[in-house]
Amino acid sequence: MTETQKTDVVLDVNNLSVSLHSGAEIVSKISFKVHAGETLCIVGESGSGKSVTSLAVMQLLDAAALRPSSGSILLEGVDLLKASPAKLRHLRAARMSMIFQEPMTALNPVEKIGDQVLEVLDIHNDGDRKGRPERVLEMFRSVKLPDPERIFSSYPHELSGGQRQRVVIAMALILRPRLLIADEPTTALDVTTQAQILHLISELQREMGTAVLFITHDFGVVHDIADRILVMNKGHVVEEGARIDILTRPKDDYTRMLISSVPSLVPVPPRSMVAEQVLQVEGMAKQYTIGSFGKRRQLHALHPTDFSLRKGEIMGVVGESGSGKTTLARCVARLVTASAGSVRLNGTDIASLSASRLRAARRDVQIVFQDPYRSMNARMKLRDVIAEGMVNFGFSAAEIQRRCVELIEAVGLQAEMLDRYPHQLSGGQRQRVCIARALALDPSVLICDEAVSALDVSVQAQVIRLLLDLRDRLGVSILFITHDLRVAAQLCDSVIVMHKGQVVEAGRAVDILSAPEHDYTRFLIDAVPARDWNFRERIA
Amino acid sequence: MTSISDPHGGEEQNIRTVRLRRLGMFLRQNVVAVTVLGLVVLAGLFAPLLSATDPHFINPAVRLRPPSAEFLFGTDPMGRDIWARVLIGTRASLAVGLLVALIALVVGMVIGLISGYFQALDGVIMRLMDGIMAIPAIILAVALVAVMGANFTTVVTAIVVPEVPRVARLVRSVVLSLRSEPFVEAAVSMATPTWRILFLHMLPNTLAPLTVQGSFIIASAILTESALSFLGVGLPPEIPTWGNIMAEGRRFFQLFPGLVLFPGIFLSLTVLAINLLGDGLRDSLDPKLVKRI
Repeated sequence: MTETQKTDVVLDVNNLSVSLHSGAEIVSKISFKVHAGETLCIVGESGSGKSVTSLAVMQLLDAAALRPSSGSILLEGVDLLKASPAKLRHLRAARMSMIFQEPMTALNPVEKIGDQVLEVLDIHNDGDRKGRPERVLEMFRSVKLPDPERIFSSYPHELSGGQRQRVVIAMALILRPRLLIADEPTTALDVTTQAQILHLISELQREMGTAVLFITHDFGVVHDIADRILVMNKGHVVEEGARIDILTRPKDDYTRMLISSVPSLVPVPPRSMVAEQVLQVEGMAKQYTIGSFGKRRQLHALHPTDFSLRKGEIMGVVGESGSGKTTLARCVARLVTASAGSVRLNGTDIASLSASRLRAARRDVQIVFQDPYRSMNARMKLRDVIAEGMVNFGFSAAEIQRRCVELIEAVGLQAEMLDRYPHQLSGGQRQRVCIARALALDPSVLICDEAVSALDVSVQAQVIRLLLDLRDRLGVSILFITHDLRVAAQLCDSVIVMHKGQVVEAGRAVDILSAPEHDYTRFLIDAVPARDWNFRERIA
Repeated sequence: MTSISDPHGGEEQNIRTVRLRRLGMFLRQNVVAVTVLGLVVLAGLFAPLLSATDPHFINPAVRLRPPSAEFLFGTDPMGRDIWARVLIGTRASLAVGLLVALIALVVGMVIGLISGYFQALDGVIMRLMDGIMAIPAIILAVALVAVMGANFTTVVTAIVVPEVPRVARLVRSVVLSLRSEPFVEAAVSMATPTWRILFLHMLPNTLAPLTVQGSFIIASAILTESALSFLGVGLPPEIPTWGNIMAEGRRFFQLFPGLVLFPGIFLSLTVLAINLLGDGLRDSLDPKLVKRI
């Protein structure tokens, strides 16, 4: 960035506080500036106040709950907190615009894409009316949407997630705003799509000289796109500085803890795997019949798949959304019945068991889900949540009581918490309880379906340590489904890579992640943000 | 391994206090509905104490008297005390309302649970429910009375039948959305028997919408019962109900409007209070519908 650009302050937030109507401050006295052509990344864990900050700048706070209680937000000298609603409407889209996290819900499902983007030009009465559709198409071309004319007259559901996010970006940038706020714009996207979108945002930024305020929790993304970084925690600014300074020489302990929690992409040294096999999967496949009368067709969610899992082994199943990883997990857990093949668990083929015999076999394979908020019945105490399986298998009351205490302590929580309800726990604590519940029946295989994906990076690191510890102590084998190659590198002994329902590569984690053979695996690894940057080791 | 510190404290006590506070708030917000309904219920329970005369006692000497100190609401064409009859009529109306709601909720809940959870049965059961929903309640009642004769059972059956599909649909929709929730799948993977999944995981989650629906069923059942009695196909005329009292009074309505008006006011106030209470219940049990922090 040149010196002349640096003086060109686009956004100047000064001592901003945002409070609940009850008076509690969600964001306390934060100040920062964003210059033209610069990307400022706000990073922080959930609840740090980063999204509230971005909504306050756009003046989109839910007025029934939150209000800016002090400070100023200057957009090129105009104080947004004092601007009239009409003035704000004029400024939005024209001078500042926003990209949201979820491209699925950011577009109106019943209006054609082209009309939605045209609306922005119509509302601001920008340029010659006849020339507007051509400007929209031009914008679609610059966000590299394939076949812009077709997309112009498509509905949102006809587009992929990545295409939708491109449309949202086109909409945000068509009036060439001075400030672009991007609130976790790539979190809902696959890693390969994420790489393309990040590249696109920085390319357009260079071209238009836009100031970008980028909200994210992902340090990989921060490494790739930030000029400066602002770290937030519990509504306060922890520290602010140039990208390289924060990533290599953080001053604050919190920043240091966050950065050192980011898992490295360098796989852990391999362990020797000689124990007996507990799970053998042969030719397992799943297909669904979709469509109705006359138009029926087969959808192959999972092509015939073979793999085996040894006692105490952690096997990663990696791939993008729609690759069939979750179908694979659900077939192994027999939550759905595989269409073909066998799943031998300790010698018993659970894919072909009758309902009554299956019930007994379920003890041996348990599953932990992605969303810890929906994984427990909100009306049950933790004691009952953990005890459910044991009650089903006829454990005595005294045995259940003893095991509940043992399990909750094994996952790092206190026995007193057994009488609490799930809503009284944090996300990380809930996921620990889910793990305790899954371990209650002493399964030989534990399936973790994106079990750490919804967690903050510091909590994620704790849960990964917990899983490794449980593997060592209990010898449980883990089938670990994830889209995050960094997590896989830190946790897994072996990895299978899935793409479009097929296993494209399988082997030791260290081999696959450091010397991938298949093109798709290479593509996947290349798309990981900051792939060559080992966060923990780079901290001075 | 790090252990996570405890952000909450004194839990059990806390939950009880929060619940009490929520109940207090609910009562404050619905004070009118609760008061009216409370008075109506008390009037029904203590009807014999609140009037000196027997509601069934026929006394031609005092027929069609206007309201006075002796007969608060006046007398009917057979000289019976309207006040005493309206009070005792509360019992029949509330009994029909409560019984209809109870039966409709239980039957509808079982059907809804089964239909929502077992996909193979869903299509058949729901088409059957659609069929039942297509029959107008009043016409069904007239047909049933023609076959079975006018009595309490017939009236309750006639009002229950069209309500059941509504409850079943409601429960089914809740079950369908819960079926694919991870906590239900976790229960399946822990070999929890199906009946336990239905009663432990599904049922408690349907109670909030069912409570709300139940209150509306009570109100609508009271109204339907009165309409049936008014038309002469409800409870037999010897049982004083608000509908029966109005039916007997309608010929003299122009001369003695109190004959219809007094039971009518009781009926309207009761139904209004129950509906208001239902709205209040929905607001406090289903917070998604209320925009409040």
